[in-house]
Amino acid sequence: MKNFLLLAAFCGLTVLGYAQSQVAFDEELQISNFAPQEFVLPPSPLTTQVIFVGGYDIVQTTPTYGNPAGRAIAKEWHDFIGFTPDSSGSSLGWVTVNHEMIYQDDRIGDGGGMTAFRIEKDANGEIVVMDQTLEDGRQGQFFNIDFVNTVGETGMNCAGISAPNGRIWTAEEWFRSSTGSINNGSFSGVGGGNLPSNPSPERAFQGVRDTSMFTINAPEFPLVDGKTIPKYQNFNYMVEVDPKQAVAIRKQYNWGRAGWEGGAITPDGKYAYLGIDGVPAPWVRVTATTPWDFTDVTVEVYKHDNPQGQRWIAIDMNEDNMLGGLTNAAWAAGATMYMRNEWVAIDPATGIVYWTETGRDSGSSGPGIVFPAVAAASNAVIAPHHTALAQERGFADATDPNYQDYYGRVLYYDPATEEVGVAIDGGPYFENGSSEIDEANYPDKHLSNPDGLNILTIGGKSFLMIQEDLNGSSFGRMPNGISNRLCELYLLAADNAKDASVDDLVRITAIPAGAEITGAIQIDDNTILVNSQHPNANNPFPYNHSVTMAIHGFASANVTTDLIEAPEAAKSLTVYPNPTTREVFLSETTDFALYNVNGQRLKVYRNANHADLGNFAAGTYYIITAKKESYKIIVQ
Amino acid sequence: MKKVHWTGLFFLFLLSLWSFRPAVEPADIIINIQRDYTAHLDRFHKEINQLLGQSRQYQSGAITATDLQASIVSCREAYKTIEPFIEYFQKETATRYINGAPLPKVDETAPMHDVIPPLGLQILDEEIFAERPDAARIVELAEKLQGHWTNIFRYEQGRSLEHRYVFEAMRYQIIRIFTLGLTGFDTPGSVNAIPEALASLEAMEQHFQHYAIIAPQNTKAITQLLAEAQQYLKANNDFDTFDRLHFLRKYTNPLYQAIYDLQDALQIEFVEEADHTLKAVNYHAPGIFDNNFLNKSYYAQVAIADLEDPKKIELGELLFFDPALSHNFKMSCASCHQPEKAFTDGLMKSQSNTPGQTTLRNAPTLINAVYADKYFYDLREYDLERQVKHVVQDTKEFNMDFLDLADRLKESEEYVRLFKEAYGDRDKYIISTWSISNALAAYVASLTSWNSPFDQYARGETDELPEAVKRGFNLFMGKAACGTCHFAPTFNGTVPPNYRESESEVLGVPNTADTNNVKIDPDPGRIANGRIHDELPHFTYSFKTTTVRNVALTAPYMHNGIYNSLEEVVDFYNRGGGGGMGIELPHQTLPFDNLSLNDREIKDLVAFMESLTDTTGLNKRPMLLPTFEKHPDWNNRQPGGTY
Repeated sequence: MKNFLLLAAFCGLTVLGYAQSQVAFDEELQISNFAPQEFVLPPSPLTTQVIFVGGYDIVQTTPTYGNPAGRAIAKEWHDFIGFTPDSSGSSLGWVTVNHEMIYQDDRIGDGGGMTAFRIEKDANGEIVVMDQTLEDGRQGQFFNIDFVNTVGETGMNCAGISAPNGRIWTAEEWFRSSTGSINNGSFSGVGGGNLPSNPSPERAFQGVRDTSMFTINAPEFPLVDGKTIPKYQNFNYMVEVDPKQAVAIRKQYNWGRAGWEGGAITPDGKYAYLGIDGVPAPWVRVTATTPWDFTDVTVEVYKHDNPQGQRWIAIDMNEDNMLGGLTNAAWAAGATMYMRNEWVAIDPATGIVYWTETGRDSGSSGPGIVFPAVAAASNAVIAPHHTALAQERGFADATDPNYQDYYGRVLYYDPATEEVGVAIDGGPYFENGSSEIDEANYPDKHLSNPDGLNILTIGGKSFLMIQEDLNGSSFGRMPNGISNRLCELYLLAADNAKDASVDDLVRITAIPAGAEITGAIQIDDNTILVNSQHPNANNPFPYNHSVTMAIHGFASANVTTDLIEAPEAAKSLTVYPNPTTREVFLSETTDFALYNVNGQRLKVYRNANHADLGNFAAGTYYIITAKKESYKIIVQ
Repeated sequence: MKKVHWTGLFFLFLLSLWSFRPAVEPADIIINIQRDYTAHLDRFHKEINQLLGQSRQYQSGAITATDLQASIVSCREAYKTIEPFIEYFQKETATRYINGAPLPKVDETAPMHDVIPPLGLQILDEEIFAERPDAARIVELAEKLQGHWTNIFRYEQGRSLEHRYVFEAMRYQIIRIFTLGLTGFDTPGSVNAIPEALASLEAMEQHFQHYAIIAPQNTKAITQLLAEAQQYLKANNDFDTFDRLHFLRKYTNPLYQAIYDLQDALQIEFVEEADHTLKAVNYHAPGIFDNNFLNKSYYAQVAIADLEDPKKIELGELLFFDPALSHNFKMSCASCHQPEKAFTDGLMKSQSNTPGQTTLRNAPTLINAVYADKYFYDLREYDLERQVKHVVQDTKEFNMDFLDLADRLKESEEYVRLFKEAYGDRDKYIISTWSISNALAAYVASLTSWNSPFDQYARGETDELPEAVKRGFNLFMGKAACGTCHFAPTFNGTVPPNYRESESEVLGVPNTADTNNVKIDPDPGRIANGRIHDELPHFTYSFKTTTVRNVALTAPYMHNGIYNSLEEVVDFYNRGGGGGMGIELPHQTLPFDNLSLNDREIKDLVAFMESLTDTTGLNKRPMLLPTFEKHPDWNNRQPGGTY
């Protein structure tokens, strides 16, 4: 039977080949030989503005490690962005940027970091970083958030929570299990036999130098207040910060210790939904006894196979679960296992909670190895979508050691029904049990390893802003023939975010080529802030470094049309230029080439239905298809 | 029965295409290549299953080690027919699980450490050809190989090929065969390198034959070269005596060019017309010893417009020789990187800013240093701009606050003018930690050299090369196994054929040159570089593989400078490195066994390395430095510093 399928597929392919495939497009064309239809791609309503450059901009620091208050070069690897609106109206608000880097710094402090600054808009709508004088006397534009002198150093500040009322938490993803493992350079945390001692640990650059025992100062948590713990146990919490005074407020010991990644708080201040970047990871909810007081909470983990109404299981937050590790308690409670939960976002319109499950394909800790191991040692259960996906790929279930979750997905949780499901799956789709990839739209358009997630509201409509962070390029995670990893920013209409497909994604390209986007957050009707995280080699400064930038123009009426109506309209038209996404859509998937005004070939697109013109200068271009159809595109 | 039926129908279908059309359409070419590829996939799939079955039989005693050896040899040869595509489409999966080096690998995509133990065909080649093969381990490895392969197989069966993929994959394969295959890189046990190259070229010839109908002449140029190369491999199948230099000039270079010519003639799009991200390999370079073969912008992570701007390079040169970058106005970059010594200093370890003390390690050459994805002996920095701050801030080197340094340079009107000329459009960064770093990066990246006598011969620009050098190159790339770490054409640790990653090696370099009573040098190397993903046992005593180019000018050698001559260096390798000399070193990446090189062979190797000398245009120093108007005492400083 399988032979039959393969043969049939092969014959089909042959016919398809005749219909569409073309060996080559002329390197140069006599454009006058064509009578192209003319289309105009109006200027993009979106513009970008650089706000903050990691590694080169200067932050103001507090007295730290015996050094006086002063200045330092900001840390790098921007990830999450928090935004605290200014209710007084005298500015737009305060911005906080996470630094995932864990570098040592005599003035900023060792480990991770976070930078805070205040912004307003000028008459042109451009963002201005305001000069500020903080209560501790620091003056400047960018301020290092002081962790060292408040709650202790942090590590690998990845995502966090930007609450609807402007409260900000940063997450410490870097799960540590010994004090040696925070002290890079000593490598005393490395197993594996006789290791030499490091003759110059002061040159370690990364990690945390102060490994002395740490005494918790947190009167709000009597169970642990005053306890002296090994230093590593003071890492891996959600940490609340004050973005206005650039100091940390508290490590959230009462939520437990875990490799926290992201979270979101409901508008009523009652629930925080939290992602743990673990292999595997539980889905966690924290409930405030009094809204907005997150020092007094119930911590629960999700178990999908319990009856409705009983799917959240409370964890006894004893000292062990607070300071030891939350995930083991979750497995003991029979929680559902996911594979690396990342960012969380709540659609304000519906209350539906979305989160990214980024996936994992590493041999020794892939899902098919970790799921059965954890299940055997506890009551944990496997998320049903993993079982289904494994079966689609021809395995008995997700415990097969060769089952790997290459692509990840976005999940939703509906508080009304306690139901969890797939909003959109990453990767190409296989027919049940066969090797047939739906290549009609894949991997020309591709979603893999979603990581960053937030909600964008345009024209009263909610979109998920999904940001990839690829674990690899194999198995079609990049379009065919593209070897470098490149992560995209996609929009997905929230009202369509149930079993959606890559066709429903709208790509935002209003960023320099090669800049990979994370941390996207909307700050007003017109502007989102984003971080460029894994800078591309050949981009001009500052885009070859970590950059926080603004994308302006979302309030433009054209954006609403282009993002909401255009994707549907495009399907019925022969050629549809979309000014916002800077793409030109063709009505059918085919091979085509793009030429400049002199008839010189610039780009060739294979088995595609759109061309991204985001990085082309204004001018006249031509598209010639495999069937010799020709279109003139005037890029404005 | 059903199978026969459908197969018959299928041929009928193909036949119909032939009968209704006078010739095969160009569009059929890719379908034919796809059909060949599918057949090769099936063949390898069967071989993997067979290897697993044979491994189990060996475990139960039903077959001998020799039978099992035949099985791995045949399985690997089958892999060579699909290698170009698997490596092209499934790069990191192939490296981790199918045919990567038999060393642990680190998955850096998660906050947790994940060390993937050696898996795949290379470790199987090593284990099966071991003196006493460990049957249980072989079975386990074969099972895992089959599991990972099954995932790839499922995906690749649905693959749609395009012409561009074929040309790119095959050109990378030409590089791979020369730099990895024929050096024995991936056949550590069987040393079956030459038959494997043969298998690969045979499959390649099959693919290219399909282009004959639309471009007979260009295609013939390729298929003829492929056929001749196969004949040459058949006639010269001894690994130790194989003439790799002849193969390079006669087959590798011409094939690399001929495949490009066919792509160009057919007007098939080039990589930049489909993929705007920069590659390490410049696809348009005619050969691997061409001076434009690698894109330095890719490695430096600095835009090419910056690296090629003469104003930035000249400013960077001034900064490089200016001791005003150091706290005490005495040390400059040129203190340890002197142009007269190919940008080294002739010392075991460089002199620090404190008299009588040294820096941590020997100063490596900066010529061609740009061609690495990570910098420093311990690979701690990945970006040529950010590299600068390590030197500026190091208490043993410039010992300078970088922000204070930027403020210091603003006190010179001449520097202000030069920075304005070079960075006037960069707003608040005109004199900044960034512009200082960028100018120095532009200068360092300009220090490239590809015109040594050996390069000229390798490119075919001359037919003159001393016989000792030729013999030395063939030893380097073959019997002496130097080229399996010092990869052509950079002869450093940047791994072909994609040249995207820099390797480090555990050699067991002792603390002195004394060959009696050897002790390991205590410098822990890469494990201590502070990068969390490098803090792993197998990176203990691991150091970056530096280039062999210009090595005649860069004595003393090794990260601690213990060897004064190249003969001593070769002798160290000839003894099997530190492990071979009795040092207990579980993670040594160099084979412990003696290379059995005789005196003439050692001389030949040295002759080859000395033929890699070219510092043309890289010997100048600025005579004058900018003045600081308000600090006359600063103006007494010497260009290059006083160390």
